[in-house]
Amino acid sequence: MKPWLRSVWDATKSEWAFFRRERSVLVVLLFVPLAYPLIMSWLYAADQAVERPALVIDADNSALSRRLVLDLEATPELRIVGRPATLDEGLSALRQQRAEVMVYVPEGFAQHVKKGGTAQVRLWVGAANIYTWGIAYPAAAGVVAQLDGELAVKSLLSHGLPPSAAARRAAPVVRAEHLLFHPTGGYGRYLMAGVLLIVLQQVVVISLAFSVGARRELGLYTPGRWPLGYLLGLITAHAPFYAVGILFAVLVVVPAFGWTVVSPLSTVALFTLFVLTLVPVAVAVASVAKDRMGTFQLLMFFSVPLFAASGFTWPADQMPPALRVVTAVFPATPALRAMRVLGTKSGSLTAVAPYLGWLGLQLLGYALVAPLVVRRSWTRLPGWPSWLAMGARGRLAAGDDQSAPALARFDVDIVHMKDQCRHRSHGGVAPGRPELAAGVHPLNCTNTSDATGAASRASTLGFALECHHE
Amino acid sequence: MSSFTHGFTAELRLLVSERRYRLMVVLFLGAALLCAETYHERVVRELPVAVIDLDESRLSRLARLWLEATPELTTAAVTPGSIDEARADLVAGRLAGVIIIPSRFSARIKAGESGEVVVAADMSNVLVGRTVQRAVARVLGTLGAGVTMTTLQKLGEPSHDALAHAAPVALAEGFPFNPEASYAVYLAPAYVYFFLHVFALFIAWSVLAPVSGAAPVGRARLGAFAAVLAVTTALGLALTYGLLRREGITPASSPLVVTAALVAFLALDLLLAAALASAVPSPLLAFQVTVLLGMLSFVLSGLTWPADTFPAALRALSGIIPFTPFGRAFRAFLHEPTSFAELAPAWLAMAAQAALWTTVLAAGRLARRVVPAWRHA
Repeated sequence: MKPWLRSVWDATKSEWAFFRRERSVLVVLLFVPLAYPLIMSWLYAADQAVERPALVIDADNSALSRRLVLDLEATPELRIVGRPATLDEGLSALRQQRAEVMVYVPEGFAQHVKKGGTAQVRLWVGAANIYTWGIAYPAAAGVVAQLDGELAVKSLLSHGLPPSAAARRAAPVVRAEHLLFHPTGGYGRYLMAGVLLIVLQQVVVISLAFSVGARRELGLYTPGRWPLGYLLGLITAHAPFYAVGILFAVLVVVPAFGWTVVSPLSTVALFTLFVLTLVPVAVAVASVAKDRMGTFQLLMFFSVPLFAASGFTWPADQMPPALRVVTAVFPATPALRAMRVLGTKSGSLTAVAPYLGWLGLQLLGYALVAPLVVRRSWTRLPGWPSWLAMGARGRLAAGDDQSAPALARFDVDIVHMKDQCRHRSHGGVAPGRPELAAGVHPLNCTNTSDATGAASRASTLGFALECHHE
Repeated sequence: MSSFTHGFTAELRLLVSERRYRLMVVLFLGAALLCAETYHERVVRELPVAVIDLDESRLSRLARLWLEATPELTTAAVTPGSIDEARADLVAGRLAGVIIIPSRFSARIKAGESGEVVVAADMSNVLVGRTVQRAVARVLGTLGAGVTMTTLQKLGEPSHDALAHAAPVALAEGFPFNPEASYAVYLAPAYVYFFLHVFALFIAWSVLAPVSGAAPVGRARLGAFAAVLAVTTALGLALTYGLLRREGITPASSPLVVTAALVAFLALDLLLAAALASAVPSPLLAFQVTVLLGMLSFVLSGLTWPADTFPAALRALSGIIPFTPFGRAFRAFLHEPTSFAELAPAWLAMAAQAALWTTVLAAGRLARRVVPAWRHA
């Protein structure tokens, strides 16, 4: 077996063994793909938000206005929760968000209609939440339009038209609406397929960085001569969990909660390609991960913006062009757009071929960039050619002047660990940093974990550290 | 220098000197900017629709003209030649809707029958589909009212009365908080403050478990939290009066109300993080619980999916997260002139949360004294 391939296999085995030792990695690999989709699905299980709270002020109190109020009450999208005494009281309730809709029927409403004039109904619909506004506003406006239509029919009847002709004349243009792909317009079905994909992204990127962070904390980050192979080995160990996550999302969560994908097989294929595209991204990110907490502190900022700016909910052609360029580099963008198609429109992979091609290009690009990032983070010599940086490892022990940047870098890491380990310097003194010596650093550590962590970090930088446990 | 001041200055130094925290600020600001900029256009405009006019009458041409004039729609340059082509365009997202005006549309109306217009809207994206639906309904409604008016005039109704008889009930609409039904108003503040909330929860751990140095204790810890509160409040104000203003959202309430709400919200966030750190034995697990609550707080806030549709348990969870009452508060103070008194429900909810998390904090501390395993965790 080739050495780099051996490093992949060894790292995979090491990671499987690591799961037994460090359960927190296993928690991330299991909790995020299994629990998160369930929580989100449970939240959106109602799928449709109906019965929006409405207020009614009937200042007319006529038969016609009472009929209007009854119709409003009968609308499934609205629920009358109050009848304020005054307009101010009602508006105050709207401002305090105790209700989302208010209908005001002014005094003289029926009289106006009887006299053949135009009677006005006032409608307030809180638009702070456009989703609920999109439900309540058409519902309330529809009730008023219905009454308007009936009154128009009466008017035409009074001109001697027969009832059927009057009805047709009052509504001469009718719409035959076909709501394609997702006729119910349910919110959960609209969102969940994308949410599942973003959850998967977070599992892939965070779990590897988390594991590397844990290893670094415990001093078990031992990439050897093949850091890229090592990281690929770790992620290979995670792969079965990703597969379980994909299958759980598509084959369990989607049918269990009534979310839709046209073809589960095509969806699994998309998810798989998405995960493959994320592998080099995850490897590059993990190579710079320092600890477990930092992984979350930094990576959690990515999920929501990538979802919002992907074009999955807000159409991409409505975004500023610069933003479209920025989001084009993230795998979530083509994947989510493809998911919009596979979720409701078509189960055929041909229908999403442009997005798959886009993902393929990203995979290629990231596969080329990731090794450079990994190598750079491994050598830890910013701006130095990698061959020189690797060569510096051997010279450090002799306190070579050229190794100063590496020592400076090491200094930073040592400062990070100062609280865990007090160190004494022995051997040669590094240029400009008298407190740091090239060579062997004996450390006094309070526990084994700190000591091995220090040793691991030092070995990453090409130092040898000795730890004495007391 | 008192311990409090020492803790305050040391925390500020840490936040400035430590690369991780600087990176967190950059990511937080970047995420807020990205999300706010997404909705920069505010409303959906010029969705491509195909109008297939098989009638080619004066009335159908008028309908086409009005559809084209609607700001939400633009008619596609190339009309699909068949149903299959139209469907392919809809699947590929090249069209948001297809409107078919059948032959004899005008003739049927003239004959006293109803003219039917077929509207197919792409509801795979609810936002797109509903916008097409609303715009087409408005155009066809206006067209229909015009036809009814003409009929009434032909029946002898004077022209000035015809409108009143054709549409006897007029609807005067008002949309509080967001008069133009803008998506920027709807979502930009929600995202910006959500990231502020997540940032505050995460950066609180620079006090509870700093990257370097020992965690401050006693008054020094209070000082460190005060520094985090000062930094997060400053960032919150900068985003409110900088980024949100750039998106056309200027707070309608006084800066005092805005600042007070931000300080209360962020202080509550820090209290929540401290309480979890105290009550959960393992710092890592406590941090993970903080992450979970933080990330779920957007969807649990009711700002997008209304809270009355949540399952009861999730509604209860939503009630203990500081972002929930703050979400209601910022929708009031950003878009309507709001006084301290009018924010009473939010203050009360925050006070209740403060009481809950202080109790949890105290219980955690007590448990650490009593249970040896927790003390060393």
